[in-house]
Amino acid sequence: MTRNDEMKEVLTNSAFQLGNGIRNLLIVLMAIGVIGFIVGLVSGHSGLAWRALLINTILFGGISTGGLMFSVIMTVTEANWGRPIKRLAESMASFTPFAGILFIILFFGGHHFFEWMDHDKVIHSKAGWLSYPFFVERNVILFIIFMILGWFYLKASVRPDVGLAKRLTQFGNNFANRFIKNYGDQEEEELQSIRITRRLAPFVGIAFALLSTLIAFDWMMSIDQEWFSTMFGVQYAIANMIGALAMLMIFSGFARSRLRLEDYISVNRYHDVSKLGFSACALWTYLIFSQVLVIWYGNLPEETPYVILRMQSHEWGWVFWLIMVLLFIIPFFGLMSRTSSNSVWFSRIIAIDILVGVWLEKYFLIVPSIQENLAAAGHGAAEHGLPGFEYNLYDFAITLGVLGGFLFCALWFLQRIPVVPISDKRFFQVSHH
Amino acid sequence: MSNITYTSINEDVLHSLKPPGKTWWISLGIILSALGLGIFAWTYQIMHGMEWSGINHPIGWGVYITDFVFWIGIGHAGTLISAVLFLVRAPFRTSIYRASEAMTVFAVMTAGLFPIIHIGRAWNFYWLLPYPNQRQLWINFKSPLLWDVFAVSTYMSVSIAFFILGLIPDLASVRDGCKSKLKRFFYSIASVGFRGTNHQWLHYMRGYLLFAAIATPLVFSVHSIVSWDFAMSSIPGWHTTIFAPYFVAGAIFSGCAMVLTIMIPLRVAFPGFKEIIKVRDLEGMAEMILMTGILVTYAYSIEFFIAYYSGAKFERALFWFRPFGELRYFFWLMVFCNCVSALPLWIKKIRTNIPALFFISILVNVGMWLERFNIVVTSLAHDFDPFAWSMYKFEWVEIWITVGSFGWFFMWFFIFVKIMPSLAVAELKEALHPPLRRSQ
Repeated sequence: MTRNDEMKEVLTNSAFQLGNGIRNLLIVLMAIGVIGFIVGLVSGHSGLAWRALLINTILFGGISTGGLMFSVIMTVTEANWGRPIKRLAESMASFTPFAGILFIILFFGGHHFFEWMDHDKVIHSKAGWLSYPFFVERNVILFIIFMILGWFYLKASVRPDVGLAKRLTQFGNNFANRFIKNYGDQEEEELQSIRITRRLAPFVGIAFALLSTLIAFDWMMSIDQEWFSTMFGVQYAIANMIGALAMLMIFSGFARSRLRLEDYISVNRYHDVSKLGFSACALWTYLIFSQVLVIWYGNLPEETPYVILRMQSHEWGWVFWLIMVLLFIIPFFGLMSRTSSNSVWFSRIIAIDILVGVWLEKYFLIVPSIQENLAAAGHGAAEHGLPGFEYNLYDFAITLGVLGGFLFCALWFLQRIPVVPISDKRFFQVSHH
Repeated sequence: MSNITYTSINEDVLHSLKPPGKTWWISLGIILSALGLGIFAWTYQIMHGMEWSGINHPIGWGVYITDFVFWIGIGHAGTLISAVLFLVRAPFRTSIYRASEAMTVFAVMTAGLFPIIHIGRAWNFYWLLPYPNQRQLWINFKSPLLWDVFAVSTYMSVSIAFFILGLIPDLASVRDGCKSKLKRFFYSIASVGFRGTNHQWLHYMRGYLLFAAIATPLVFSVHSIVSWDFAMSSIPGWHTTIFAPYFVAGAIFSGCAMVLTIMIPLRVAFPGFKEIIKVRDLEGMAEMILMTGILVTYAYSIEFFIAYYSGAKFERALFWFRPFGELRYFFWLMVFCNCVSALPLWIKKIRTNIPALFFISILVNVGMWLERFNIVVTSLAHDFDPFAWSMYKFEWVEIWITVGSFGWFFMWFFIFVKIMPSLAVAELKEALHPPLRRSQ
């Protein structure tokens, strides 16, 4: 069988159609999110609604950039193994523009999180950085830079696949056609794609690191304006990778069985994804440990309150250990053995556990600080300390909404673009190993 | 793959074990003189006291601690290349990993000397270790310096064991090629009776994989703990959370640079190696340098940003002092070497140009030494109270000892390339098509 025939077969087998049931479900989820948010705004609980939106935007926006990073890492390292799932990872990036829109919406709710927006409360020596116009400017600029780089990268990566698919099976739709304007010779286009992606990938990677750092510092760390940690940006970037890898485990598990890609996303390839998820969780734990140890040992008044509130207070202390179980103990021991990480259903459970973990981690980094700010401002704190972990319908509804949006974007993308990078020579190689 | 075969690998590698020529002896002579300088200086310091090192009050840590961290950093690349790159199946590791593992072992051996030199009364070094004693005097387990003792000795044991494990099949092939009976005897002891049966290979590969998995966390832990020697204190410029991964990235940065510094001359010294250590492999190292260089630059920038953002007076003062104070030349030279000098590696032509790679690798080594010097000395020179500010003045003793440490390191390496196969014979063969009887 020639490569073209094989690719044709793969393409027909893996053509993905978003079923009506799932599509409607996702639309309902998004509607729940929107309704939840609006109800929150009008019912006097606007703080809770904004808070939930912040948590989920940071989480799912981060995961979408992390998905793109997976593809970037494959390109930079010239790795073969990840090729069959490259497109699945890239599909997550389709949520990034929507995360951008959510961030723009969040600009209007800044006063619910940031104590420093109040001129009387901002720490004087930080007023230069913590000024709202500057905050908006730098976030918008860096986000746009990331989006532009990411778009050109993604376009170059997708283009020869769409072109080849069109040639082989009359593949085409309005969205995909946009990628193949002025399409030339297939060989030429493939080389061009390799050239552009290789050249852009390191810059997308750098932009990812900078953007993650900025979002972590600005949108999470500055809620508690006194506290700082140089590691915070790295922690967020790695958490994004963890989230993206967990999503990828779920996506590739389904792609294997539903899209008949068992020969391509083989057990070994699936094992590789699980292993990467395993190591990313271990890396995250290392980052947490290195922060906590340094802060605990240094015992400086500007650093410890943040950690004491999160580790030793009765309101929040238990959440810290819960997160450690979700993001370290369970994935570490769960994915350690080959059998368990090869097993799609088992590692899927762990992937879901990881996603719950990263959600809770964002919640845990954001909410205690907001509660503390409210308490300092004289409202929100009961006599017995902070409210602690209090679940409410807004968290629930808005999480479902943003999750629905994320999945909708990714699946919508996969429906319109070939699910496997058929034109990628390395993809063809890996399937024959 | 062209003309590399099982036989040619055997011959090329075993050729490197032939009795040394003139160049080797002359180089060893230079190396031993450097070592002699170091030994002389250390003796002088022991006789005349620590005033002959540049350390003073309050700069209690100077060149020796800088050297210590520098050599530990060099010792990172070996395990990274042999264990981490093994686990991620990076193809460019095969030809260079043996020599870099050896480099690791020797670098850690060099690093281990410096705390002993630094403590002054070197003969009391065993006070660093916990041992039952009559007066029940115990070391301070809460001190990061003690964690360092454990971290470094664990790292050293594991990297030596890993090194030896990787050597076993190759020592067996050296043994098979030996003519003299005495040599044969020693190599057969060293290769623990390895005969290359399926059974032995199976166990060997299992063991190697397990070892690689054990060694990988050590790559992170050692330099993290070294970084905590600094980060645990509350000194401005030292106490910051990013130190651990930042030191690890810096260590890999300098380690990979040292791999290039060593492998490039090795390629020239043994002509047969040129075909085996391909330019692509060196390019892989160059890419590692480029990436870790960017990570290190990121860490520098974040440190400066947080020093500003923290609003802490002392942090801000220190991060003003580093680029603009009396020690600014060290700082800017470091920035040039670590952040700028590796940037030409973005260009493939430079990445594959051997002299350029060699030159950049030297610059990176210098830069990473300066980085440690900047961290150790500037923070101590400029801490909280202007009354306690001070300046560092280099003394000849510490410079000679530093030179001597290079002599010590290269002495081991020179001996190594003559008595052990410096390329991994067995793994190189794995990458080839096995010779078939039919084709002969």
